[in-house]
Amino acid sequence: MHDLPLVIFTILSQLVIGGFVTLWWLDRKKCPISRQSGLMISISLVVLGAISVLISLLHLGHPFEAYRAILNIGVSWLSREVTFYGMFVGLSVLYTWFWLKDEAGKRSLIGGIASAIGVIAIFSSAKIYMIPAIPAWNSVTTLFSFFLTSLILGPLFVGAFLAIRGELSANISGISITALIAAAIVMVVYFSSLQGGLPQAVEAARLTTHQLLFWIRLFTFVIAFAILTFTFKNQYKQNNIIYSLVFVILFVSEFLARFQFYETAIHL
Amino acid sequence: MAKKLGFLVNIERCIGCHACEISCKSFYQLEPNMRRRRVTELPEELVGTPVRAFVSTACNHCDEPACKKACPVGAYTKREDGIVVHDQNMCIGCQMCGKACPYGVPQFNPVKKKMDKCSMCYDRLDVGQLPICVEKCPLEAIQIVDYNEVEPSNSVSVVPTFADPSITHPTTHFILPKPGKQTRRF
Ligand code: SF4
Ligand code: SF4
Repeated sequence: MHDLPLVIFTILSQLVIGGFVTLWWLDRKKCPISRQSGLMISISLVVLGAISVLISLLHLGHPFEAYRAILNIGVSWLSREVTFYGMFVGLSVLYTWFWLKDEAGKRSLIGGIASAIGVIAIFSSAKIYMIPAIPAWNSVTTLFSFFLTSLILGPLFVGAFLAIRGELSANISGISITALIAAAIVMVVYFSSLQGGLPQAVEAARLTTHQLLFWIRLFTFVIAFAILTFTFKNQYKQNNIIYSLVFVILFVSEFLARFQFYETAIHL
Repeated sequence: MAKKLGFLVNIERCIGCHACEISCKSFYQLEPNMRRRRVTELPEELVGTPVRAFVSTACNHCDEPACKKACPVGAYTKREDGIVVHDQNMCIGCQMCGKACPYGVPQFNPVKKKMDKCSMCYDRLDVGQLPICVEKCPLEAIQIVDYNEVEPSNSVSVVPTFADPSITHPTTHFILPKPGKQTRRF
């Protein structure tokens, strides 16, 4: 499928930004994270960020000329996405450096700036797709779902990592459950607005719900929600397995949803 | 005052022979599945009484081109005379312009790995020649009009299958066929 690099890029970049903001936030809130764990998470986010950039290049006819994609930043949201995400990945390398040097003050400052730029990158990314030519994309639900992917995958990634290392001291289930509830509401709004929209939007809804992938997406979403809710009470115990499992399930779920987002986009 | 050049497509005259489409394709040596201009059949109920009608469309050289806004490298420019030009040397082949154009005009050239679209043959216009499609149509159904000078009163800016013009304000106008007389046989 022609847009597969974009499916992978958007999911990975949103995961990385969500994970980064979570790590920065926990570190800032003085949740005890050992230097080694902070460094490991930070390095893995940089690596995932770099992979996402490389994969996004596969979508171009001329990947080696990608540097030119920042030229039209004045009007093009794609230019803005490339610029801000590039800056974010660059700053996250610097952030990792301050984990290595164990300089908490500078880490917090650079992390804050990078987080803000990451948020602008996700915003720009969503705006690329909010175009009248593709009615199923041209809605604020695109914006919400991009941010929610970040909120669903990012904290769980860091939570699972810290839980495996036995260092998790914050409540990750709460934010994940809230994000899933918000995502469920956005999903309902999305499908009802497609049904009431232009013929191309109605067709996009029909195509989406007629694919098996949609039902796998829904099933994994519900399962992840159920696991998080039922284990909410004992969140400080055994959550290494729970968080890792839920992260993998939700990664699959979000991936399928994004795949369908591209696959069923009907042009005017 | 600057010009506002646009196509005026006379559906009343068009017989659907595809000469515009093929002459353009051949002149620009496009790859097998590519077209800068396309001829399609319109629904029979276009003007009330059933008619057989065809419409020839290309880039609409819009007043607010979505392609230009989407392109990350700034490969699109709108000239003083209104022609929207795509610079293939700049293009990196991200295909975003093709997604953003409501008419799906920019097409991917699978060999060059860049986008391609109608330029209204501006280099021919600049030396006083007509665009290939205009020149080759045997029924003179395609014209170039300066819409800042004349707005043909019998023309419309939208036909069925044509996307909402309020999105990009395309300059293309169409002359619809006259409704035929219904003959009732008893
Ligand atoms: S028709 Fe499409 S490609 Fe042509 S100027 Fe308008 S938006 Fe751009
Ligand atoms: S395919 Fe080329 S012209 Fe189209 S948006 Fe991308 S860089 Fe610009």
